[in-house]
Amino acid sequence: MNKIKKHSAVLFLLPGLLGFTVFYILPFFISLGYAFTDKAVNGTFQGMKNFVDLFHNKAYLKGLFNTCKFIAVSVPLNMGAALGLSLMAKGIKKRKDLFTLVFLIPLVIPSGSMAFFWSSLFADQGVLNGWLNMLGIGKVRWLDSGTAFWIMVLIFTWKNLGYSMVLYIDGLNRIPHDYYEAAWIDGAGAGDIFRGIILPLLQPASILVLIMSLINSFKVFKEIYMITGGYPHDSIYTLQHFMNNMFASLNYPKLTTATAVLVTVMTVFSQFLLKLERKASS
Amino acid sequence: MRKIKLTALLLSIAALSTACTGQSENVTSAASGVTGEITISCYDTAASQAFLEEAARKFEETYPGTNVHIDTFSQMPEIKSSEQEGEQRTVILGEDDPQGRADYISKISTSLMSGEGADLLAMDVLPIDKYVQSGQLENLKEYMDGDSSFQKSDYRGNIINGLEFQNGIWFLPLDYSFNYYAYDSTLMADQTTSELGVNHAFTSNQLIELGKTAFNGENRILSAPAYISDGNGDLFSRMFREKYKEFVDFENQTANFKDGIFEELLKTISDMADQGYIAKGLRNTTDTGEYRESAENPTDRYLFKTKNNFSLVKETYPDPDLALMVSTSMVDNGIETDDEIGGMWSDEGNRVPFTYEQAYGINSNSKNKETAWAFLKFLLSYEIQSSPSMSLLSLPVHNKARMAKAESLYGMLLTESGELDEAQRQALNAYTDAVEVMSDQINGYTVRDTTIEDMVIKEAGYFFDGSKTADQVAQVLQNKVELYLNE
Repeated sequence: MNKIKKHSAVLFLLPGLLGFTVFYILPFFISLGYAFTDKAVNGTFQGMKNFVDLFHNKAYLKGLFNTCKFIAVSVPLNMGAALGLSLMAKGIKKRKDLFTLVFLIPLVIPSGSMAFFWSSLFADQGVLNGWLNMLGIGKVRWLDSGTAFWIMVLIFTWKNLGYSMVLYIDGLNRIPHDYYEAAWIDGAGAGDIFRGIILPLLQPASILVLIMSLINSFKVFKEIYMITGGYPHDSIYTLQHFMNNMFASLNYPKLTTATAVLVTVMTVFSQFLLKLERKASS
Repeated sequence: MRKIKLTALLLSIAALSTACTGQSENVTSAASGVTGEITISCYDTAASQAFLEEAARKFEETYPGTNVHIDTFSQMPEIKSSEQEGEQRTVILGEDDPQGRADYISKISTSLMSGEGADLLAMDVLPIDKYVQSGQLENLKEYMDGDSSFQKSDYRGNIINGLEFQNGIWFLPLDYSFNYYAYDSTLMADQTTSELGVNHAFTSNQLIELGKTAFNGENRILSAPAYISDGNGDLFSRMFREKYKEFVDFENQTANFKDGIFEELLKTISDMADQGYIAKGLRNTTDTGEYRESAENPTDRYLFKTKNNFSLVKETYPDPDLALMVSTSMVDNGIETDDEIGGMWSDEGNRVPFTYEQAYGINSNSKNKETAWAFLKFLLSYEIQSSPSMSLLSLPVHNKARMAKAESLYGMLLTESGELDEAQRQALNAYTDAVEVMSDQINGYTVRDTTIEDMVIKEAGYFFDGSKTADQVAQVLQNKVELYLNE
């Protein structure tokens, strides 16, 4: 029986795996060759020089710093907010589905529409500055000052909150109700239950949310790029800006070097988190 | 929005271009390698398509077995005709499309990245410096030196040599244009005009200093306003270009906006506007549109104005009807009836630069470089260079073609039969003399990057609309441009 199950699982996985291999894995390994040459056309092999140079490249280091800073701020914020909302959703008796659905709407809005919305809101001549003007306050360059970083955090959180919330709701639903009842009978307060039951038993869900948030934190680039272009304010220049600009300027060696580093780091990190998740689940 | 206004002349030129078939020189296909298909890619459809299609047809006739595909990207501009005071006028409205340019660059870069792309690439909007650094363009210096059928002496040497960049010549222009200063002879004192003429070259600063002696508060020194949001014809863009090399060093990949020179530039221009030497900036598209409209019906006089080489026709043959016909200005140059040639436009390094409408480079990925080079040579040949389908606003790089084109231009503008009378022939000689003397002064081409220029023009706008200080603008540009250069 187990053998049949395994075979059917492989059959179901095969089409996706094939597509993933042909369109992602193979091109990645084919393009990896550029990471060891000085230029894309008639390039010569130069060993690990591109990797060494990459970590001396000011633009790359700036993108790396901003990406790390963004992840450090936005991922915990997203996880905390999602956990809070999922706890609220759990406590809601009526219209619970509607409450959840509202937070899922950003997931189905196309990136172009989202970019248009945020751009209209934060543009120099946009809605927010219009309101500030009505109040007699001078306009703020939302996208061209330090506030741009927080707008990027806001866009990320707005887009991913619903998804993370659903994962947490699922995790909360998996906690047996008996545990709460036993805790109440023993006189535990809400804080004790959160610390002693919810947090430990939500570990697998938390790790999954962490992995998904990390991956999605790289995807926020699409909207940011649409709003601010390839050379935005210093504070929101991320690794993806660097890689996208390398693509536009035909610097394939730098692009593939940066991609190789990123893929390696992400693979190692997600493997570590998945191991943690399996450990927590068991 | 950039509005391009041309007069009825251009319509007649277009009609002439399609009507004229030209005398083909019936070149035999000596080079056996010239065969097969090639593709040319260019962004600017309006400037290139008709010309390239005609050239491609002639090339295919000359070299049987060849096939030239033309691939253009931008939308054709809108053409509007109207009648004003009994005269038929044609206005060509083309909208500046930064997104379209970015999409085109992305398309070309993607195709080059996959080892493909057109055999010949028009250098109209592509980032030349990036393409050269990544080895995507062939060094045409080697092609010219290694091809005995290409006679460099047939062309303006200072134009071709001026293109040398990073130890090579990576593209060749079919034409060139230059800007010169004209002055209003009714406003300038005799002692000042002695310092002006075809043999002189000035930076904007030098000209303003010269103009201060004749400035009485009534007429502005320079026709260019402080700032125009599309960076076209304003003093800021011009003075930025004059000092371009001080701010951007491609060879060493450094930006230099923070040593005070850029801030000084912004403040100087702002002060000039405050003192009435120039008009204030135009901050938005509505302002710009109104400004362009006022260029049609000028009422003011300016001590100095910048003009394109095409306007030399007016300077050498002062006729009000002709002046109206060759009105190509996108900026308000005021009343021009008393204009005289003041001198060439030079940058701060005493370099007299030129621009071009069409230039092409060979893609390193091309599988048919021999035919691509043959077609590029064909585009540079007398037959094509003297063709009426070449832009009338610029000058052919081919020496004999430049003369032939001048003659046909005067014949077309001044006569119905094409035969020039004595006065007209004298005007033609004065024109060709002026063109050659002024062209002799050209000594360089600045490889500029549209991405950097877009950044600078956008950011400078924040200074001119008062929302950022010069220091803030300089700081932002230092960060952005340095980031761009160091990626």
